[in-house]
Amino acid sequence: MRCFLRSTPVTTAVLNRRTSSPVLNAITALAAFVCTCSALHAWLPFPQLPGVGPKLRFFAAHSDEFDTIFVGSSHIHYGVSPSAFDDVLAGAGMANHTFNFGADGMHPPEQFYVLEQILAMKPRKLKRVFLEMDNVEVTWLPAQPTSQRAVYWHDWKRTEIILRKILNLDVREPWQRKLRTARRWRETIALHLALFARNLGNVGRAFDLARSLRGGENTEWELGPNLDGYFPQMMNISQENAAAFENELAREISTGLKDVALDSYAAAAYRDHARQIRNAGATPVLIVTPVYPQFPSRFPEPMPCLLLAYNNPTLYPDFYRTDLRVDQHHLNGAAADKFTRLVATDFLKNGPRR
Amino acid sequence: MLFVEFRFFWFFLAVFAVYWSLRENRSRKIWLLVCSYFFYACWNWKFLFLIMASSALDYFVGAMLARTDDPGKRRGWLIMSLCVNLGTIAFFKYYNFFVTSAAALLAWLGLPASLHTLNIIIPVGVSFYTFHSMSYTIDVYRRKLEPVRSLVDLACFIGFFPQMVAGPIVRASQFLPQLRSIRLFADVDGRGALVLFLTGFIKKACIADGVAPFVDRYFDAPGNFTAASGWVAVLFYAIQIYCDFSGYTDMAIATAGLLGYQLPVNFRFPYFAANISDFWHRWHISLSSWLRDYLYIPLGGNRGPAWFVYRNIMITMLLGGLWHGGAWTFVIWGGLHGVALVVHRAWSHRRDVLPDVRDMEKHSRPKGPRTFAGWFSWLLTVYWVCFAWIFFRAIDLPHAGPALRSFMFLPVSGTQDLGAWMLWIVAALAFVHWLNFRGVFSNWWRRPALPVFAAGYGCAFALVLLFIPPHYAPFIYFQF
Repeated sequence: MRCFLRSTPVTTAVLNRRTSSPVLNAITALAAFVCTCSALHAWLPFPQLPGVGPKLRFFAAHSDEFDTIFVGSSHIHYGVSPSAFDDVLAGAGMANHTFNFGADGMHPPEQFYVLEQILAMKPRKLKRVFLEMDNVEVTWLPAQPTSQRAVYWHDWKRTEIILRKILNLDVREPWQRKLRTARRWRETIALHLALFARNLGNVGRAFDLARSLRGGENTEWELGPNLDGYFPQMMNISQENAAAFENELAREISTGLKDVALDSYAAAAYRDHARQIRNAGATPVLIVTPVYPQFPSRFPEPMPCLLLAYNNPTLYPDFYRTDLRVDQHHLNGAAADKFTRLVATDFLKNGPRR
Repeated sequence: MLFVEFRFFWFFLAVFAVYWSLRENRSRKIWLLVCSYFFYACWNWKFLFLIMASSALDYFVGAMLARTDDPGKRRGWLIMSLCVNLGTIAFFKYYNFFVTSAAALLAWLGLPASLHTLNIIIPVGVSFYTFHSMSYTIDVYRRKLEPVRSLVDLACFIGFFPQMVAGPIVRASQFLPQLRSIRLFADVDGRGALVLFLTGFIKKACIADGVAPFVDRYFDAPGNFTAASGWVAVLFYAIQIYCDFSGYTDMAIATAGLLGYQLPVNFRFPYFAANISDFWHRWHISLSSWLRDYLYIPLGGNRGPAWFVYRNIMITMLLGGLWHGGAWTFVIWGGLHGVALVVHRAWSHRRDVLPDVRDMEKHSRPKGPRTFAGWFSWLLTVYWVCFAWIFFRAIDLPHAGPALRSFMFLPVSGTQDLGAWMLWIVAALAFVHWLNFRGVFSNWWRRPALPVFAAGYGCAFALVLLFIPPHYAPFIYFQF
């Protein structure tokens, strides 16, 4: 206040003397950096991401047209046929329009980030959200681990889930053990923190922006022929892979099929997201596609919503026939149709009707 | 750990905060040494022992040199130090090169021999810290420098993290006196250092890494590309290597500057050099002056008949080329520059081919071409430098062939195209570089008040991050 009362003008030299504290200047620079990064983050469009970007952009433009969405990895992308789901519900007198939000490699916690983006669009007609259930993935990243696909979902919420799981923070252990864990996983921890920093700093987004301004994004593979996010796979598993798949499956069955429980970090996140989905006025449903039995199929109590699990080859042997598979992990088009109809029927049987 | 990685910022923040909070010079030096060794250990801790051994040996040799006046004994100690230091480089960098070259020579002579190569990891920066170390021993031997009393001082000089792995090559006589007196925070030109760091960061992370994928694509299979692509790739490489190395040097100088230490300037607008001799006054100055003082002058320098001077130039440049790595491509690169220097010397009858770079202030900025002859000379210099870069970058000699043909306007058979429009990027970058050369960017950032500068710096850094390509390419000179 006294500054404004002074009769002498405030020169640069005077200002320098008064505010030349290095700490203060460092804080100013840091604040300016963070503010600029945040402003840019808010202003920049959603990055151009193969798999995820076109679906999100399409859904943003048609958010009020869909009643049901399936969110998950390639198991969903190639395994759920929206038209088959709509057929079954229509047969039960429920008009429905489904969108497949599956994307290759979109495991939790990336899946959670995408789900939040979808809910943030406030889709007015949305009634059902099917979420693929899987453990939090801490090591899987795209081939180029610094690509935008790996960076864009690394906000603090998602990075924290990963760090909590790596360091096993839900379990009380002696600090020496935690330290040993941190040491063993230091490269993975450093990688995720670096990705978080890259996301915060908008690293490389100018190139991405230039690509989006140029346009010309090829969306056929992501959106599929019916613009419902589903791309049916018409080929069949190779003989070599079929043999490997059958051997692996036989090995798993011989060791005894057990209900594998979801890890506590993923469970907590799913509970949180089920709450968010309900707050948005929709019904959450967890789904496990016909993958290997080693994938989790049991949710630790309390269950947040209905769970439909199909990864038991003794209960659903048809989906484990090699003539219905593209590879070890994915169903072909015919099987996807059949599988989706089963999901819809089970949902009608067990889920809330609206 | 690279200067452009996030973790370096955390590392440096810790180094900086603790360093300036320590009151005693000795504590600061120990802290710097610990941090420097940690910095190196982030790459490979096993090779730390090599740096420690090199430091300990030269400390011991320095002490022994101070103890005796007997010229024979002194020479013996010096030779021992040189043998160990050069032997280290020879083993790690040149063993396989010498073995394969010897085998090829024997085969050519009709005496095929089965010589075994070794799977050797080259320690990062071995050529740099060994040259730091050697400069100490040689200067003590020449009685230009008093031997250090504390091993910490010498270890700190050799291992000082900003310059340890990729230079600039600092002389003991430049750095050790700085270690003797306590640095004052008030003397630090923080603004200048921060701007220099940002400049280096832009050069490396945005420009060099931005053009690197195109260069790599071309030089992986140059025979597949068109002639225009050859030009794009060679000019891009000229940009990449300059921005990569000078960017690293800028960041190294700035980092050292923030800790109160001054490192020598390494680049002064080399691509605006008027001729090839001028180029070597402006490119990797610390190496060229090292080679001049510790190789060229001991060989005889400019004294003696013309052929003798030419021989000295060629030996210096060939060994300078070989310093970069064990490959004939580097030798040819050095040889091409040597030939150009000889031709230039013969043409101009200058007596001062490799002038004292310590007087580089006299050469602060090139004037730039003004006459037709000046323009011709500048163009010829840039062309020759780029021509030589082809050998420097090529994976091997056969891979250099198609690039050379493209660059010499000879027909090539490749059909893939990098995009001739990219020459506009070269022009745009050249224009920005020219503006910088004209001083357009110098010092205006000193005018605003410090808080304004700090806020502007934060914003500028946030904007620069937008232009970083998705992947970091390692610093080119790390391999040397």
